[in-house]
Amino acid sequence: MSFEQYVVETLKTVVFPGFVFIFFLSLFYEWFDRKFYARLQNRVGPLYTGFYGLLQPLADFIKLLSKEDIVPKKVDQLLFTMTPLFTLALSIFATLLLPISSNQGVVSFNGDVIVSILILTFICITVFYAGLSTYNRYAVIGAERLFLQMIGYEIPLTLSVVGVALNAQSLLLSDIVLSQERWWYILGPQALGFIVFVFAAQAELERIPFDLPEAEQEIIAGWNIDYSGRRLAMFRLARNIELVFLCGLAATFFLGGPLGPTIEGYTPILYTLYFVIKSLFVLAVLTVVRALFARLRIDQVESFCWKYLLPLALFQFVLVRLIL
Amino acid sequence: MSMEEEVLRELKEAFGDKIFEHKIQKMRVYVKVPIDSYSDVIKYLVLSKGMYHLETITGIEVKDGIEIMAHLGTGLCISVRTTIGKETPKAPSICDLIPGAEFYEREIHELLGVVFEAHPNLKRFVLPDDWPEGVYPLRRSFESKHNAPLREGFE
Amino acid sequence: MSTFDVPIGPMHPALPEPLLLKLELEGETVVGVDFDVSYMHRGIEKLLETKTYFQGLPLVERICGICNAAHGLCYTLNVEKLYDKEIPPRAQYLRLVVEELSRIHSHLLWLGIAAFEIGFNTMFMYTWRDREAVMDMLEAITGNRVTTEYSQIGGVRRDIPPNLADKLLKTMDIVEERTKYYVKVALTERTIAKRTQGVGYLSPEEAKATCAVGPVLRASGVKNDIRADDPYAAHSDVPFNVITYDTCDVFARIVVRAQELFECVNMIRTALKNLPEGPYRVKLPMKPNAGEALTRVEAPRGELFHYTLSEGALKPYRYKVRTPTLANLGALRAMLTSKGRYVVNIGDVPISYGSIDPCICCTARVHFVDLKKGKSWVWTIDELRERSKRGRLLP
Repeated sequence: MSFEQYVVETLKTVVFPGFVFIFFLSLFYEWFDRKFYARLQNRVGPLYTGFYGLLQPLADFIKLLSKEDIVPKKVDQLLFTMTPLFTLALSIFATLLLPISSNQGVVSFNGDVIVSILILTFICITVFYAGLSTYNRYAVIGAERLFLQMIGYEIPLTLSVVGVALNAQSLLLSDIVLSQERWWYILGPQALGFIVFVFAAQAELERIPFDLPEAEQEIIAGWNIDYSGRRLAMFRLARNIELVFLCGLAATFFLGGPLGPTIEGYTPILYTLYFVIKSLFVLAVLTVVRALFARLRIDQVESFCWKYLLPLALFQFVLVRLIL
Repeated sequence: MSMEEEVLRELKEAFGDKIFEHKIQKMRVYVKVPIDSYSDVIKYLVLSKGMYHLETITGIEVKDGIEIMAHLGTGLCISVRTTIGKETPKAPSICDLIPGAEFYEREIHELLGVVFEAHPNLKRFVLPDDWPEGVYPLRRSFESKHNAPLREGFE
Repeated sequence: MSTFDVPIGPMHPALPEPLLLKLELEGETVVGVDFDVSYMHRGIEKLLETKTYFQGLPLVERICGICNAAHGLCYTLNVEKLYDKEIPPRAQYLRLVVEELSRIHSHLLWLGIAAFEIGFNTMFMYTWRDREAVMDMLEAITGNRVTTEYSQIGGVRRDIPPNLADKLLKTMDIVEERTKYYVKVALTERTIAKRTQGVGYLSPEEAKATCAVGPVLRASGVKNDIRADDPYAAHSDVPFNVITYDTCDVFARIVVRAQELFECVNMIRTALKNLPEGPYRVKLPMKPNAGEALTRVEAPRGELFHYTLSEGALKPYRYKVRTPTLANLGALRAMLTSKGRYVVNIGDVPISYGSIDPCICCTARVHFVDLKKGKSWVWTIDELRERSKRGRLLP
């Protein structure tokens, strides 16, 4: 690898479409989520910081960073300090897999579809340890709920992706993107897979109706009750980046990723734009789901996942198999 | 005969002399009974007359003791009152008849210092946990310094 | 299986006011519960003994912020019983109008809170928006949004002019239309049904035994409403239906409260149509006669009980208040400790608790205590001001 290549690769990882770009994109997504949610509820949402409150998530992030750093005495020191870093690192790594500015992610290798699903599970497990490490009663209940929930949604999520991979005959994200040049998968039987994916993503992101691990009215803040200051900021950032990742993944799998009509010379910019528009559509769907439902109970989450999501995912899987 | 008088007549038939004071207002009947037949009267009202609903129990410090008054009934309200001594106030609990009486008896126990015998759970209820023992705020002897004077020429 | 305790409160996002629910959990299942309501005891009953009847009214209204109209009404009705004077019928009708208006605002508020407790924030925002229309009307009639202090000893504070009555009728149309929509949402939305049906079950026998009151009792299928059983104000002239529902769960409480909204709207319409002419207030002397009086009023949360013992002096000898939440605490315990008949999940606790429409301020009615000396005292407002100027509260 020559020096020039080295610099380009580094810039790709760190600046665009790597960390810096993802950081600001995740703050923008949070703003979009909050604003749209507020408008759905007849509120104004973020308004004063920046253009229509666009800088509010950034302000919140900086504020949290400047807060006092508290490590409670009786927590497991190692896990308590390491888990926020792990969660953030995992979610940043995950976004490097996403094809944003070209049909390939920054990191691309055979089997990255499996890795992307694996990272989601890893994030869930680190968060589980984050909850357990505090030994707080509410956090323990939250962590317990998180795991129970994961058992429910993980399999339908994977199955919905399997349908897509089967159709593309590949486990490479870039192949999946390229195979959607003629028609997007959401227009075929994978539409069912998209529905499954949206609900599973909602559960992964702990949003209503699946926000049980941090259900405010029941167990206060659930697993993140003892986290404050910059650790909380890290968790929030990780959560936002995960939001970008899941929306991007849905766009990649079902909406043709960054593909679209291009003009010579402007391809990366246009691709990025298409990617953002498509994943914002997914985010809008997620936000509407969040606004429409009440929170389920843990046993109802389980029965919903096993009774409805799993058969739906299996049905989609069989349908794809029959068509092929 | 009005409804109130009817109820009072039936009560007098059942308990005779035990009811030594009574008063009638519109939809209200007040009867005064000695302490030993207090729970019997309530038992009679609950079981025979079907007055399942206990409004509340009021505790008042009067000149010759502490008065406990149980208000029963949904439409017509019958208040069964009895007076007990101030030194060691003791009264029978009616929780076995009406489970809903528990909180009211706990409140009176704290605020007036009445001990309800056979009460299932006579713990602190409305007062703070660090409130001193033996200080009962609703007693007349409890001096509240908040006696705001009336303005001159108020009357 | 070993159990562990989880405290809900005294400070908790699901609780609007300080209350401690000590839950005993087995995994996620509640097996035991205990209460502590002592965080809000303000000693109002004792304080009322030091005030004249006319000074007591503002204090009584501050027992509870939301059902202040019911407290004020109950207090005035109670004190008026000590006088042998007829209260003008127009005043009684106007009292009814304001009472029912405050019931609408309280029930809409509760619908929002109930939705919030099960994580349905959108409905919370919408009901609270529409509640504003009712609040605006309360402000137009009484001059105040929340603590209205409309009912006075001897009548009401001010009259409703005809143009305001028309405006009120128009607002009622809006409220009715919006309520229909909320009822539709609450009855058809699947996640609401899932979270409320079969939750917080209270059998009619338990409801009677624990002396539950108000919508909680009516949702258990017991027909009980003070407005019908022992009419006060103008309730004997304004017809209405007592709403009951028989599924005995949180869902039933939603249905009962929602249907009551329609009854309130109709009662206000009837009352405004039949509003009698005449004075709206009579002047009563400072000192009532000796005697005792007992009044019950159907507050939004249930039956409110006031008792006063007068010696014919300026101040009451004893004033007793029993608020609906205190009466419903026993029912709440019955809902949460099922004793194995059905499973109570920790996720059901907030909505079960919310379903009695709790108001802890009402329940526990401040004394300062010096622990070392074992004496207690109450600071006057001037002393408090003085101390706040000096910047410290403890001596």
